[in-house]
Amino acid sequence: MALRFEHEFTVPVPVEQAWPVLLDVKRVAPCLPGAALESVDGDDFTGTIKMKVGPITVSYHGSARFEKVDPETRTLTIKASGKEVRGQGTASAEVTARLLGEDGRTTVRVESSFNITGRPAQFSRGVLADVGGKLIDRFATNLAALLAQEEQRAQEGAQGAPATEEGPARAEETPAPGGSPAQGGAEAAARPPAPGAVRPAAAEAAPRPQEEALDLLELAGGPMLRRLAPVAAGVIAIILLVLGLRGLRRR
Amino acid sequence: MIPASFGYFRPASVDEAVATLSEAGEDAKVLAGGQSLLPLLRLRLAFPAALVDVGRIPELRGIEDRGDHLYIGATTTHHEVMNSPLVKEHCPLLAQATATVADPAVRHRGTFGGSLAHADPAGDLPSVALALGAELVLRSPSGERAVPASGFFVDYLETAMEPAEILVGVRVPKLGPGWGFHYEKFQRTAQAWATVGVAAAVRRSNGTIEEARIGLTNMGPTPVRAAAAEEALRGVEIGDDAALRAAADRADEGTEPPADLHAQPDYRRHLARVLTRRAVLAAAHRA
Repeated sequence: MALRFEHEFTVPVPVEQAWPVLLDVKRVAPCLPGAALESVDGDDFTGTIKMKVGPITVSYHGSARFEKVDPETRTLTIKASGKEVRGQGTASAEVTARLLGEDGRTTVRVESSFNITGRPAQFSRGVLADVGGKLIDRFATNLAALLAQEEQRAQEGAQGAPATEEGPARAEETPAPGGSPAQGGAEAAARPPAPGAVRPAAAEAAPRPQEEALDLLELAGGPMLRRLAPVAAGVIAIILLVLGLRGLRRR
Repeated sequence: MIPASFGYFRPASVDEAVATLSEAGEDAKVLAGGQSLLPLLRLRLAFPAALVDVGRIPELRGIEDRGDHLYIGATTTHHEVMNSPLVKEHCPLLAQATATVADPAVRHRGTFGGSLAHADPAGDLPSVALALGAELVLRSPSGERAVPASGFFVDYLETAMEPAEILVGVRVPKLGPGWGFHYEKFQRTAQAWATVGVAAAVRRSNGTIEEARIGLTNMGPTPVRAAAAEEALRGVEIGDDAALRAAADRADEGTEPPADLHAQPDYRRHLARVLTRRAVLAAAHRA
Protein backbone atom coordinates (compact mmCIF):
# COMPACT_ATOMS: atom_id res chain seq x y z
CA MET A 1 0.00 0.00 0.00
CA ALA A 2 1.48 3.30 -1.09
CA LEU A 3 0.61 6.45 0.76
CA ARG A 4 1.54 10.06 0.40
CA PHE A 5 1.47 12.69 3.07
CA GLU A 6 2.30 16.30 3.50
CA HIS A 7 3.25 17.99 6.70
CA GLU A 8 4.62 21.35 7.61
CA PHE A 9 6.28 22.87 10.62
CA THR A 10 8.16 26.00 11.53
CA VAL A 11 11.30 26.57 13.56
CA PRO A 12 12.22 29.98 14.94
CA VAL A 13 15.64 30.09 13.35
CA PRO A 14 16.85 31.64 10.06
CA VAL A 15 16.92 29.24 7.16
CA GLU A 16 20.67 29.58 6.65
CA GLN A 17 21.12 28.11 10.08
CA ALA A 18 18.45 25.46 9.85
CA TRP A 19 19.66 24.01 6.58
CA PRO A 20 23.04 22.63 7.65
CA VAL A 21 21.61 21.25 10.84
CA LEU A 22 18.99 19.30 8.96
CA LEU A 23 21.69 17.67 6.92
CA ASP A 24 23.59 16.60 9.97
CA VAL A 25 22.03 13.26 10.78
CA LYS A 26 23.94 12.85 13.99
CA ARG A 27 22.56 16.08 15.36
CA VAL A 28 19.06 15.63 14.13
CA ALA A 29 18.47 11.96 14.95
CA PRO A 30 18.07 12.57 18.70
CA CYS A 31 15.21 14.92 17.89
CA LEU A 32 13.14 11.96 16.90
CA PRO A 33 12.10 10.16 20.06
CA GLY A 34 12.64 6.45 19.97
CA ALA A 35 15.19 6.69 17.20
CA ALA A 36 18.71 5.35 17.51
CA LEU A 37 21.31 5.98 14.90
CA GLU A 38 23.66 3.09 14.40
CA SER A 39 26.07 4.22 11.79
CA VAL A 40 26.63 7.12 9.47
CA ASP A 41 28.72 6.70 6.37
CA GLY A 42 28.62 9.80 4.26
CA ASP A 43 25.11 10.01 2.89
CA ASP A 44 24.15 6.58 4.16
CA PHE A 45 23.02 5.78 7.62
CA THR A 46 21.45 2.96 9.53
CA GLY A 47 19.54 2.68 12.74
CA THR A 48 16.42 1.62 14.54
CA ILE A 49 13.34 3.24 15.90
CA LYS A 50 10.91 2.14 18.53
CA MET A 51 7.40 3.45 18.85
CA LYS A 52 4.59 2.93 21.31
CA VAL A 53 0.87 3.40 21.07
CA GLY A 54 -0.36 2.49 24.52
CA PRO A 55 0.67 -1.13 25.05
CA ILE A 56 1.50 -1.61 21.40
CA THR A 57 5.13 -1.26 20.42
CA VAL A 58 6.91 -1.57 17.10
CA SER A 59 10.54 -1.42 16.23
CA TYR A 60 12.00 -0.99 12.82
CA HIS A 61 15.54 -1.50 11.69
CA GLY A 62 17.03 -0.50 8.38
CA SER A 63 18.97 1.98 6.33
CA ALA A 64 18.48 5.29 4.62
CA ARG A 65 20.41 7.68 2.45
CA PHE A 66 20.31 11.26 1.25
CA GLU A 67 19.26 10.75 -2.34
CA LYS A 68 19.32 14.37 -3.28
CA VAL A 69 20.55 17.49 -1.59
CA ASP A 70 20.06 20.83 -3.29
CA PRO A 71 21.53 23.72 -1.32
CA GLU A 72 20.15 26.32 -3.68
CA THR A 73 16.51 25.43 -3.23
CA ARG A 74 17.27 24.00 0.21
CA THR A 75 15.58 20.77 -0.62
CA LEU A 76 16.65 17.35 0.51
CA THR A 77 15.33 13.89 -0.28
CA ILE A 78 15.86 10.84 1.83
CA LYS A 79 15.08 7.30 0.81
CA ALA A 80 14.70 4.72 3.49
CA SER A 81 13.80 1.08 3.80
CA GLY A 82 13.63 -1.34 6.62
CA LYS A 83 12.12 -4.26 8.33
CA GLU A 84 10.21 -4.78 11.54
CA VAL A 85 12.51 -6.03 14.23
CA ARG A 86 9.94 -8.43 15.54
CA GLY A 87 7.75 -9.16 12.59
CA GLN A 88 7.67 -9.71 8.89
CA GLY A 89 6.52 -6.28 7.90
CA THR A 90 8.67 -4.10 5.73
CA ALA A 91 8.56 -0.46 4.90
CA SER A 92 10.13 1.83 2.37
CA ALA A 93 9.80 5.55 2.23
CA GLU A 94 10.82 8.60 0.34
CA VAL A 95 10.82 11.90 2.17
CA THR A 96 11.40 15.29 0.64
CA ALA A 97 11.89 18.30 2.84
CA ARG A 98 11.88 21.85 1.58
CA LEU A 99 13.10 24.72 3.70
CA LEU A 100 11.67 28.18 3.25
CA GLY A 101 12.97 31.12 5.21
CA GLU A 102 11.02 34.18 6.18
CA ASP A 103 11.63 36.79 8.83
CA GLY A 104 14.26 34.80 10.62
CA ARG A 105 12.05 31.75 10.79
CA THR A 106 12.18 28.61 8.72
CA THR A 107 9.21 26.68 7.45
CA VAL A 108 9.90 23.08 6.65
CA ARG A 109 7.57 21.38 4.22
CA VAL A 110 7.75 17.63 4.28
CA GLU A 111 6.29 15.44 1.58
CA SER A 112 6.50 11.76 2.16
CA SER A 113 5.40 8.69 0.37
CA PHE A 114 5.81 5.23 1.65
CA ASN A 115 5.01 1.62 1.14
CA ILE A 116 4.17 -0.80 3.84
CA THR A 117 3.83 -4.52 3.82
CA GLY A 118 2.67 -6.77 6.54
CA ARG A 119 0.17 -6.02 9.25
CA PRO A 120 0.60 -2.26 9.17
CA ALA A 121 -0.82 -2.20 5.69
CA GLN A 122 -4.24 -2.75 7.20
CA PHE A 123 -4.23 0.68 8.76
CA SER A 124 -6.30 3.39 7.30
CA ARG A 125 -4.86 6.50 5.78
CA GLY A 126 -6.30 8.63 8.52
CA VAL A 127 -4.40 6.76 11.17
CA LEU A 128 -1.15 7.04 9.29
CA ALA A 129 -1.56 10.74 8.69
CA ASP A 130 -2.43 11.23 12.31
CA VAL A 131 0.54 9.30 13.57
CA GLY A 132 2.85 10.91 11.07
CA GLY A 133 1.63 14.35 11.97
CA LYS A 134 2.28 13.79 15.63
CA LEU A 135 5.68 12.43 14.94
CA ILE A 136 6.60 15.42 12.87
CA ASP A 137 5.22 17.79 15.47
CA ARG A 138 7.37 16.18 18.09
CA PHE A 139 10.35 16.25 15.81
CA ALA A 140 9.74 19.89 15.01
CA THR A 141 9.59 20.87 18.65
CA ASN A 142 12.82 19.11 19.41
CA LEU A 143 14.48 20.45 16.32
CA ALA A 144 13.46 23.98 17.21
CA ALA A 145 14.96 23.57 20.63
CA LEU A 146 18.11 22.14 19.15
CA LEU A 147 18.43 24.99 16.69
CA ALA A 148 17.77 27.60 19.32
CA GLN A 149 20.42 26.10 21.50
CA GLU A 150 22.84 26.05 18.59
CA GLU A 151 22.15 29.68 18.00
CA GLN A 152 22.74 30.50 21.61
CA ARG A 153 26.01 28.68 21.56
CA ALA A 154 27.07 30.45 18.44
CA GLN A 155 26.40 33.73 20.13
CA GLU A 156 28.31 32.75 23.19
CA GLY A 157 31.17 31.70 21.00
CA ALA A 158 31.12 35.03 19.27
CA GLN A 159 31.26 36.85 22.55
CA GLY A 160 33.96 34.55 23.80
CA ALA A 161 32.44 34.55 27.24
CA PRO A 162 30.85 31.70 29.12
CA ALA A 163 27.14 32.11 29.44
CA THR A 164 25.67 30.80 32.60
CA GLU A 165 22.07 31.03 31.62
CA GLU A 166 21.05 29.21 28.53
CA GLY A 167 17.92 31.18 28.05
CA PRO A 168 14.45 30.20 29.06
CA ALA A 169 13.94 26.78 30.46
CA ARG A 170 16.98 25.03 29.16
CA ALA A 171 20.27 23.39 29.90
CA GLU A 172 20.06 22.34 33.49
CA GLU A 173 21.70 19.11 32.57
CA THR A 174 24.03 19.90 29.72
CA PRO A 175 27.35 20.19 31.47
CA ALA A 176 29.77 22.25 29.45
CA PRO A 177 27.97 25.07 27.74
CA GLY A 178 28.00 27.48 30.58
CA GLY A 179 31.62 26.94 31.34
CA SER A 180 33.46 26.49 28.09
CA PRO A 181 33.59 29.45 25.82
CA ALA A 182 33.41 29.34 22.06
CA GLN A 183 33.80 26.45 19.74
CA GLY A 184 34.83 23.73 22.15
CA GLY A 185 31.68 24.00 24.12
CA ALA A 186 29.52 24.23 21.06
CA GLU A 187 31.01 21.10 19.58
CA ALA A 188 30.80 19.00 22.66
CA ALA A 189 27.39 20.06 23.73
CA ALA A 190 25.92 19.86 20.28
CA ARG A 191 25.96 16.15 20.08
CA PRO A 192 23.61 14.95 22.79
CA PRO A 193 21.67 18.14 22.82
CA ALA A 194 18.36 16.81 23.83
CA PRO A 195 18.66 16.08 27.51
CA GLY A 196 18.96 19.45 29.08
CA ALA A 197 18.56 21.50 26.00
CA VAL A 198 15.13 20.40 25.05
CA ARG A 199 12.47 22.80 26.11
CA PRO A 200 9.80 21.73 28.57
CA ALA A 201 7.41 21.40 25.70
CA ALA A 202 9.59 18.65 24.34
CA ALA A 203 10.57 17.48 27.75
CA GLU A 204 9.08 14.10 27.18
CA ALA A 205 11.84 13.44 24.70
CA ALA A 206 14.42 14.97 26.97
CA PRO A 207 16.11 12.16 28.87
CA ARG A 208 17.76 10.12 26.13
CA PRO A 209 15.69 10.53 23.03
CA GLN A 210 17.69 7.85 21.37
CA GLU A 211 16.50 5.29 23.82
CA GLU A 212 13.13 6.67 24.75
CA ALA A 213 10.44 5.04 22.72
CA LEU A 214 8.20 7.45 20.98
CA ASP A 215 5.01 7.41 22.92
CA LEU A 216 2.71 8.86 20.40
CA LEU A 217 -0.20 8.77 22.70
CA GLU A 218 1.33 11.40 24.86
CA LEU A 219 0.53 13.81 22.15
CA ALA A 220 -3.02 14.93 21.98
CA GLY A 221 -5.46 13.18 19.78
CA GLY A 222 -4.43 9.69 18.94
CA PRO A 223 -5.03 7.77 15.81
CA MET A 224 -7.97 5.54 15.56
CA LEU A 225 -7.03 1.97 15.64
CA ARG A 226 -9.97 -0.21 15.48
CA ARG A 227 -9.64 -3.40 17.26
CA LEU A 228 -6.08 -4.03 18.08
CA ALA A 229 -5.58 -4.95 14.49
CA PRO A 230 -1.95 -5.29 13.57
CA VAL A 231 -2.29 -2.08 11.69
CA ALA A 232 -1.31 0.24 14.46
CA ALA A 233 2.14 -1.07 14.96
CA GLY A 234 3.25 -1.11 11.42
CA VAL A 235 1.80 2.22 10.56
CA ILE A 236 3.56 3.99 13.30
CA ALA A 237 6.78 2.36 12.47
CA ILE A 238 6.36 3.38 8.91
CA ILE A 239 5.88 6.95 9.80
CA LEU A 240 9.13 6.95 11.59
CA LEU A 241 10.84 5.51 8.63
CA VAL A 242 9.33 8.20 6.57
CA LEU A 243 11.27 10.77 8.41
CA GLY A 244 14.20 8.94 6.99
CA LEU A 245 16.31 9.50 10.01
CA ARG A 246 16.22 5.92 10.86
CA GLY A 247 18.73 3.71 9.27
CA LEU A 248 17.10 0.73 7.89
CA ARG A 249 19.36 -2.08 7.03
CA ARG A 250 18.22 -5.03 5.09
CA ARG A 251 18.86 -8.22 6.91
CA MET B 1 0.45 -16.74 16.81
CA ILE B 2 1.75 -17.15 20.30
CA PRO B 3 2.99 -14.25 22.35
CA ALA B 4 6.64 -13.38 22.64
CA SER B 5 8.07 -14.55 25.92
CA PHE B 6 7.49 -12.51 29.06
CA GLY B 7 8.03 -12.73 32.79
CA TYR B 8 4.99 -13.48 34.91
CA PHE B 9 4.29 -12.25 38.42
CA ARG B 10 1.26 -12.86 40.52
CA PRO B 11 1.30 -10.59 43.57
CA ALA B 12 -0.98 -11.34 46.49
CA SER B 13 -1.77 -7.77 47.48
CA VAL B 14 -2.06 -4.35 45.94
CA ASP B 15 1.07 -3.09 47.62
CA GLU B 16 3.00 -6.05 46.31
CA ALA B 17 1.55 -5.47 42.86
CA VAL B 18 2.58 -1.84 42.88
CA ALA B 19 6.07 -2.73 44.07
CA THR B 20 6.44 -5.45 41.45
CA LEU B 21 5.25 -3.12 38.72
CA SER B 22 7.59 -0.42 39.79
CA GLU B 23 10.57 -2.77 39.86
CA ALA B 24 9.73 -4.42 36.58
CA GLY B 25 10.04 -1.10 34.81
CA GLU B 26 8.37 0.52 31.87
CA ASP B 27 7.97 -2.59 29.84
CA ALA B 28 5.73 -4.28 32.38
CA LYS B 29 1.98 -4.46 31.97
CA VAL B 30 -0.78 -5.18 34.42
CA LEU B 31 -2.87 -8.22 33.58
CA ALA B 32 -6.44 -8.37 34.83
CA GLY B 33 -8.90 -10.31 32.68
CA GLY B 34 -6.58 -10.23 29.72
CA GLN B 35 -9.43 -9.67 27.28
CA SER B 36 -7.77 -6.64 25.77
CA LEU B 37 -4.14 -7.32 26.53
CA LEU B 38 -3.78 -10.95 25.54
CA PRO B 39 -4.98 -10.43 21.96
CA LEU B 40 -2.31 -7.77 21.63
CA LEU B 41 0.27 -10.22 22.84
CA ARG B 42 -0.96 -12.93 20.54
CA LEU B 43 -0.93 -10.65 17.56
CA ARG B 44 2.56 -9.70 18.61
CA LEU B 45 1.64 -6.08 18.74
CA ALA B 46 2.74 -5.68 22.31
CA PHE B 47 5.86 -7.10 23.88
CA PRO B 48 5.74 -6.45 27.59
CA ALA B 49 8.79 -7.76 29.35
CA ALA B 50 6.65 -8.72 32.32
CA LEU B 51 3.01 -9.26 33.17
CA VAL B 52 1.82 -8.45 36.65
CA ASP B 53 -1.27 -10.54 37.18
CA VAL B 54 -3.58 -8.82 39.66
CA GLY B 55 -6.44 -11.21 39.10
CA ARG B 56 -6.16 -12.95 42.44
CA ILE B 57 -5.99 -9.94 44.69
CA PRO B 58 -9.14 -9.96 46.80
CA GLU B 59 -9.24 -6.30 47.64
CA LEU B 60 -9.47 -5.37 43.98
CA ARG B 61 -12.71 -7.17 43.49
CA GLY B 62 -16.20 -6.44 44.68
CA ILE B 63 -18.88 -3.79 44.67
CA GLU B 64 -19.68 -1.68 47.70
CA ASP B 65 -22.38 0.81 48.42
CA ARG B 66 -20.71 3.87 49.89
CA GLY B 67 -23.60 6.21 50.32
CA ASP B 68 -23.49 8.67 47.48
CA HIS B 69 -21.55 6.38 45.17
CA LEU B 70 -20.78 2.80 44.41
CA TYR B 71 -17.21 1.62 44.73
CA ILE B 72 -16.40 -1.00 42.15
CA GLY B 73 -13.13 -2.89 42.48
CA ALA B 74 -10.96 -2.78 39.41
CA THR B 75 -10.90 -6.52 38.78
CA THR B 76 -14.65 -6.97 39.16
CA THR B 77 -15.72 -8.81 36.04
CA HIS B 78 -18.27 -7.52 33.58
CA HIS B 79 -20.50 -10.40 34.51
CA GLU B 80 -20.41 -9.39 38.16
CA VAL B 81 -21.06 -5.75 37.36
CA MET B 82 -24.04 -6.32 35.10
CA ASN B 83 -25.69 -8.75 37.48
CA SER B 84 -25.04 -6.83 40.65
CA PRO B 85 -28.22 -5.72 42.39
CA LEU B 86 -26.43 -2.60 43.58
CA VAL B 87 -25.41 -1.62 40.08
CA LYS B 88 -28.78 -2.40 38.62
CA GLU B 89 -30.46 -0.26 41.19
CA HIS B 90 -28.14 2.71 41.47
CA CYS B 91 -26.24 2.82 38.17
CA PRO B 92 -28.43 1.02 35.65
CA LEU B 93 -26.60 2.70 32.78
CA LEU B 94 -23.50 0.77 33.74
CA ALA B 95 -25.38 -2.52 33.97
CA GLN B 96 -27.05 -1.99 30.63
CA ALA B 97 -23.88 -0.97 28.82
CA THR B 98 -21.84 -3.78 30.35
CA ALA B 99 -24.39 -6.28 29.10
CA THR B 100 -23.58 -5.20 25.55
CA VAL B 101 -19.87 -5.88 25.91
CA ALA B 102 -18.72 -8.65 23.57
CA ASP B 103 -20.08 -12.04 24.60
CA PRO B 104 -20.58 -14.04 27.80
CA ALA B 105 -17.14 -15.64 27.62
CA VAL B 106 -15.45 -12.28 27.50
CA ARG B 107 -17.75 -10.87 30.15
CA HIS B 108 -16.82 -13.61 32.57
CA ARG B 109 -13.14 -12.79 32.38
CA GLY B 110 -12.98 -9.19 31.35
CA THR B 111 -12.90 -6.63 34.13
CA PHE B 112 -14.37 -3.19 34.62
CA GLY B 113 -11.07 -1.65 35.64
CA GLY B 114 -9.19 -3.41 32.89
CA SER B 115 -11.56 -2.04 30.32
CA LEU B 116 -11.13 1.50 31.61
CA ALA B 117 -7.37 1.24 31.94
CA HIS B 118 -7.09 -0.06 28.42
CA ALA B 119 -8.92 3.05 27.30
CA ASP B 120 -10.12 1.92 23.93
CA PRO B 121 -12.58 4.59 22.79
CA ALA B 122 -14.56 1.89 21.00
CA GLY B 123 -15.16 0.18 24.33
CA ASP B 124 -18.54 0.70 25.90
CA LEU B 125 -17.41 1.35 29.42
CA PRO B 126 -15.12 4.35 29.05
CA SER B 127 -17.93 6.46 27.61
CA VAL B 128 -20.26 5.32 30.37
CA ALA B 129 -17.69 6.23 33.00
CA LEU B 130 -17.42 9.63 31.37
CA ALA B 131 -21.17 10.18 31.21
CA LEU B 132 -21.62 9.19 34.84
CA GLY B 133 -18.74 11.30 36.05
CA ALA B 134 -16.92 8.37 37.59
CA GLU B 135 -13.71 8.76 39.53
CA LEU B 136 -10.82 6.34 39.12
CA VAL B 137 -8.73 5.45 42.13
CA LEU B 138 -5.09 4.81 41.37
CA ARG B 139 -2.33 3.54 43.57
CA SER B 140 1.38 3.98 43.05
CA PRO B 141 4.47 3.61 45.23
CA SER B 142 3.91 7.17 46.38
CA GLY B 143 0.33 6.69 47.47
CA GLU B 144 -3.22 6.86 46.22
CA ARG B 145 -4.94 9.42 44.06
CA ALA B 146 -8.29 9.78 42.35
CA VAL B 147 -8.65 10.99 38.79
CA PRO B 148 -12.04 11.97 37.34
CA ALA B 149 -13.00 10.18 34.15
CA SER B 150 -12.93 13.50 32.32
CA GLY B 151 -9.19 13.69 32.89
CA PHE B 152 -8.38 10.01 32.75
CA PHE B 153 -8.66 9.22 29.05
CA VAL B 154 -5.83 11.10 27.49
CA ASP B 155 -5.50 9.59 24.06
CA TYR B 156 -6.04 6.41 22.12
CA LEU B 157 -5.15 3.55 24.47
CA GLU B 158 -3.52 6.10 26.73
CA THR B 159 -4.57 7.14 30.20
CA ALA B 160 -3.40 9.50 32.88
CA MET B 161 -1.85 6.59 34.75
CA GLU B 162 1.82 6.74 35.58
CA PRO B 163 4.04 3.76 34.70
CA ALA B 164 4.01 2.23 38.17
CA GLU B 165 0.37 2.95 38.89
CA ILE B 166 -2.44 0.47 39.27
CA LEU B 167 -6.12 1.18 38.99
CA VAL B 168 -7.59 -0.18 42.20
CA GLY B 169 -11.23 0.85 41.95
CA VAL B 170 -13.81 3.13 40.45
CA ARG B 171 -16.23 5.39 42.27
CA VAL B 172 -19.44 5.58 40.30
CA PRO B 173 -21.80 8.28 41.60
CA LYS B 174 -25.43 7.51 42.16
CA LEU B 175 -27.27 10.12 40.22
CA GLY B 176 -30.43 9.84 42.20
CA PRO B 177 -34.11 10.29 41.45
CA GLY B 178 -35.25 12.08 38.35
CA TRP B 179 -32.54 10.50 36.23
CA GLY B 180 -33.17 8.03 33.44
CA PHE B 181 -30.54 6.13 31.50
CA HIS B 182 -30.05 4.36 28.22
CA TYR B 183 -27.13 2.96 26.29
CA GLU B 184 -27.70 2.82 22.55
CA LYS B 185 -25.16 0.85 20.59
CA PHE B 186 -24.94 0.31 16.87
CA GLN B 187 -22.97 -2.70 15.73
CA ARG B 188 -22.97 -4.84 12.67
CA THR B 189 -22.68 -8.20 14.37
CA ALA B 190 -23.75 -9.34 17.78
CA GLN B 191 -20.50 -9.25 19.69
CA ALA B 192 -18.74 -6.59 17.66
CA TRP B 193 -17.35 -3.31 18.87
CA ALA B 194 -19.74 -0.43 18.65
CA THR B 195 -19.54 1.36 15.33
CA VAL B 196 -20.86 4.21 17.43
CA GLY B 197 -22.44 4.05 20.88
CA VAL B 198 -24.25 6.64 22.96
CA ALA B 199 -24.51 6.56 26.75
CA ALA B 200 -27.27 8.89 27.85
CA ALA B 201 -28.27 10.01 31.31
CA VAL B 202 -31.18 12.39 31.39
CA ARG B 203 -32.71 14.23 34.31
CA ARG B 204 -36.30 15.02 33.75
CA SER B 205 -38.81 17.12 35.53
CA ASN B 206 -42.39 16.61 34.40
CA GLY B 207 -42.15 16.65 30.65
CA THR B 208 -38.97 18.67 30.35
CA ILE B 209 -35.38 17.62 30.13
CA GLU B 210 -33.51 19.51 32.82
CA GLU B 211 -30.09 18.09 32.25
CA ALA B 212 -28.43 15.54 30.00
CA ARG B 213 -25.12 13.76 30.06
CA ILE B 214 -24.09 12.08 26.87
CA GLY B 215 -20.99 9.94 26.40
CA LEU B 216 -19.99 8.90 22.90
CA THR B 217 -18.32 5.62 22.06
CA ASN B 218 -15.97 5.42 19.09
CA MET B 219 -16.26 9.03 18.04
CA GLY B 220 -12.66 9.97 18.62
CA PRO B 221 -9.36 8.85 20.06
CA THR B 222 -10.95 8.92 23.50
CA PRO B 223 -14.52 8.68 24.71
CA VAL B 224 -16.09 12.13 24.48
CA ARG B 225 -19.04 13.99 25.89
CA ALA B 226 -21.48 15.43 23.39
CA ALA B 227 -21.25 18.79 25.12
CA ALA B 228 -23.09 20.82 22.51
CA ALA B 229 -25.98 18.40 22.44
CA GLU B 230 -26.09 18.30 26.23
CA GLU B 231 -26.40 22.04 26.37
CA ALA B 232 -29.00 22.17 23.63
CA LEU B 233 -31.14 19.63 25.44
CA ARG B 234 -31.67 21.75 28.49
CA GLY B 235 -35.29 22.75 28.77
CA VAL B 236 -36.39 20.71 25.79
CA GLU B 237 -39.84 19.20 26.08
CA ILE B 238 -39.80 15.48 25.57
CA GLY B 239 -42.75 15.72 23.23
CA ASP B 240 -41.07 18.42 21.14
CA ASP B 241 -39.72 16.27 18.37
CA ALA B 242 -38.21 19.10 16.36
CA ALA B 243 -36.29 20.53 19.28
CA LEU B 244 -35.08 17.10 20.31
CA ARG B 245 -33.87 16.38 16.84
CA ALA B 246 -32.16 19.73 16.57
CA ALA B 247 -30.36 19.15 19.84
CA ALA B 248 -29.38 15.59 18.95
CA ASP B 249 -28.02 16.82 15.64
CA ARG B 250 -25.35 18.62 17.61
CA ALA B 251 -24.06 15.40 19.11
CA ASP B 252 -21.08 15.12 16.81
CA GLU B 253 -19.88 18.69 17.30
CA GLY B 254 -16.27 18.82 18.33
CA THR B 255 -15.67 15.17 17.62
CA GLU B 256 -13.16 13.58 15.26
CA PRO B 257 -14.70 10.25 14.37
CA PRO B 258 -12.29 7.70 12.95
CA ALA B 259 -12.42 6.14 9.54
CA ASP B 260 -11.95 2.40 9.42
CA LEU B 261 -13.20 -0.79 7.81
CA HIS B 262 -16.58 -0.40 9.44
CA ALA B 263 -17.46 3.20 8.87
CA GLN B 264 -16.29 6.52 7.50
CA PRO B 265 -16.39 9.67 9.60
CA ASP B 266 -19.53 11.06 7.96
CA TYR B 267 -21.42 7.89 8.67
CA ARG B 268 -20.26 7.91 12.27
CA ARG B 269 -21.45 11.49 12.62
CA HIS B 270 -24.81 10.48 11.27
CA LEU B 271 -24.95 7.57 13.67
CA ALA B 272 -24.02 9.76 16.60
CA ARG B 273 -26.90 12.09 15.87
CA VAL B 274 -29.48 9.41 15.33
CA LEU B 275 -28.40 7.30 18.30
CA THR B 276 -28.27 10.32 20.58
CA ARG B 277 -31.84 11.15 19.77
CA ARG B 278 -32.91 7.59 20.45
CA ALA B 279 -30.88 7.27 23.61
CA VAL B 280 -32.05 10.57 25.04
CA LEU B 281 -35.66 9.78 24.33
CA ALA B 282 -35.39 6.34 25.86
CA ALA B 283 -33.57 7.68 28.90
CA ALA B 284 -36.09 10.48 29.36
CA HIS B 285 -38.94 8.01 29.32
CA ARG B 286 -37.27 6.00 32.03
CA ALA B 287 -36.67 8.96 34.28
